Amino acid sequence: MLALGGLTRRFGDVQALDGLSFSVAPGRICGFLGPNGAGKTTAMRIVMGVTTPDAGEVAWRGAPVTDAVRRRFGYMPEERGLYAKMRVRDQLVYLARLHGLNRAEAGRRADRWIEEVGLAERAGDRVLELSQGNQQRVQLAAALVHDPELLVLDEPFAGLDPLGVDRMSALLREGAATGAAVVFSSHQLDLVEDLCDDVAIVHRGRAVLRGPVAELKRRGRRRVVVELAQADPGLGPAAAALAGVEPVAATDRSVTVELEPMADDRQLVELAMARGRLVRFAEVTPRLSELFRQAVGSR
Amino acid sequence: MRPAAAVRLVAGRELTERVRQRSFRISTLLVAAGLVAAVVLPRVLAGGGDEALTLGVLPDVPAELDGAATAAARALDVTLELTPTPDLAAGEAALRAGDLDALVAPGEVVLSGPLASDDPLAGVVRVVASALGTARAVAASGLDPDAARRLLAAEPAPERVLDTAADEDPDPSDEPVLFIGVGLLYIALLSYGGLVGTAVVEEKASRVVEVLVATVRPHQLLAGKIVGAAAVALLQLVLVATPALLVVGATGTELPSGSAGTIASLVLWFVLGFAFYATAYAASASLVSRVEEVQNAIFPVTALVVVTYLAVFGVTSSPDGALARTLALFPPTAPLVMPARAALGHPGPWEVPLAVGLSVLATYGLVRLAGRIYVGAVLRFGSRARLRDVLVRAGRDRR
Repeated sequence: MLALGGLTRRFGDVQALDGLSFSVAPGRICGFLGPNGAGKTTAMRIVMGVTTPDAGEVAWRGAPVTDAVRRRFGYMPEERGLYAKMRVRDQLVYLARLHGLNRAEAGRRADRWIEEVGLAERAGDRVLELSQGNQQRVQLAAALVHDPELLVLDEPFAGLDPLGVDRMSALLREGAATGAAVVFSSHQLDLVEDLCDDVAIVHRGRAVLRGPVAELKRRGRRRVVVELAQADPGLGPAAAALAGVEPVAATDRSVTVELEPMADDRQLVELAMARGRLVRFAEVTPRLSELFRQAVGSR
Repeated sequence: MRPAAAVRLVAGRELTERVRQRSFRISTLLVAAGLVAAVVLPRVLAGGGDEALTLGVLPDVPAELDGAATAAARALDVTLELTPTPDLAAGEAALRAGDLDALVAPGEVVLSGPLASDDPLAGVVRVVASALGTARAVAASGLDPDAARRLLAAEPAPERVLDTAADEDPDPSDEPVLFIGVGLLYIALLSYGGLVGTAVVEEKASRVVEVLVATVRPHQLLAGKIVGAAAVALLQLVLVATPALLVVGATGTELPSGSAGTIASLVLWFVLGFAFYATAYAASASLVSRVEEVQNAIFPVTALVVVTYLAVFGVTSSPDGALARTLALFPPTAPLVMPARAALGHPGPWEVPLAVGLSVLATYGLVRLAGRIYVGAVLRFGSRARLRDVLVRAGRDRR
């Protein structure tokens, strides 16, 4: 379990982190979300020991993170970078050895990950000879080459084509399936919603929403969509007149309402059937993007 | 992983990657070829022309004179050719035509013109003339021919140098060794300084540094860079010098021989000087984030190297003066000035150890400072970092 506890960090006049706390469990994928400038990169750099916090601490398995522990973490920074003139395999072997593997083991892992990201024929090429997409694959292999216990990825999906997104998603799932804790930042909320077990939404240096995606979506008031076969502009106002029912969205043929716990949804069905032919009456769960906007918009 | 292992790993990458580069191979080949040419060309061009003398010898000159002339020529380091000449008239004609440098007759030595005192021919002629005079005197004294021959072929008496005199005055043969050594260090500092700077900035420029500082500490990275660059420098020096030394060995050219003390002092200061300046180059280069800016960033250090080199020449005229004493102790100038002062002057017994101690101390301080600058500057991309900002930031980010 990776636990960030009360991290603060100030750069000049900017309070980048202001008491950020959240945790990432082994075997789970955590989406780290937030508007630009919310403090995501700073938090990840602190986890990786690249920057130090002014206050707060980072713990792994209940103990503060030391250099030796951190060598078992894998990191893909926002600013991608590799040695341009170094050959792909040499580069991965070097990075694996920096993570503490011996030469032979580093070689084996490098070969395996080159295979895994589909660059077997390019292992002897210099990085600068590869396409942008292939360089991204090397970058990912560099983060994974020592089979880390914790994987920290800053915007891993930025700049990937749809196939690249699929491959990256599969690799992250694979990593979590083997027991690694995975945390990554992203602005692609639909992707995060499909891929992540948990999310932490950060705004102005604090976590404003965190927890399992499924649970967050269940939380709050029930939502129901009511749809008629024909247009009915009066449907929304009529529904609003019912006790404990509050319309949140409408089209010309439908209305989405939030129900308070005491509201009686049979009244809503009867109302709809009285106004026309009812084609849909369904409970809906909010999209992650809605939760995100609620979490960061109102503050 | 122990810190030493991390440093070794970084240094190892530095060495392998640099040696694999085509530019390394090309520059090594070019310089090696240049050095071989520098050894071979003077001999080829000289070709025994200028320094070879041709003496005409008339038939009735005693044969023992040949030996005296040859010995004199060897002492003066010139090649001597003795040409039998039938008579005086033919000899004088050859002398006028420039085919002979001098003509040896039974009673005289004939020259085409007056000789300068430093002309090697003058030395040979003096010996031959004196031997000729002796031969005549011996013949006139009526000694038996065997005794006369032994007399003329006598070996010169050996020379003896007083040991005390050698101790008090530095060995003059140290001077060429000193200047070669100081010159080599100067060239190494200038050429490999840029290399250290580039190696440090390379990782900032490619942004790979963020992955690296997540696994190794910045000062380990920095130390690895410096050790790696030193290894590259050493390897290249060996590769470049070996062919030239082999040629020297094969052709039997004599190298200037210095005393063991001067050579040991040069090696010591080579190591100390390289460590000090490589660290200074690394620290100043880490302030910028693009390879094109490296030369600007390291300029102050380069200028210091040049000034130090010029200071050596100011010191050689009075190696025991106040300026020489000061510069030989001051860490930035000591690596070049102290060997000169030690070889040419008379430093007190405490001066060399003090200079070494100061130099080690200064390098250690510089490594610490460079580490701080590196930590503070290494994650600042874009514009050149200001030294003050960097040190403030380093205080916060130091791990």
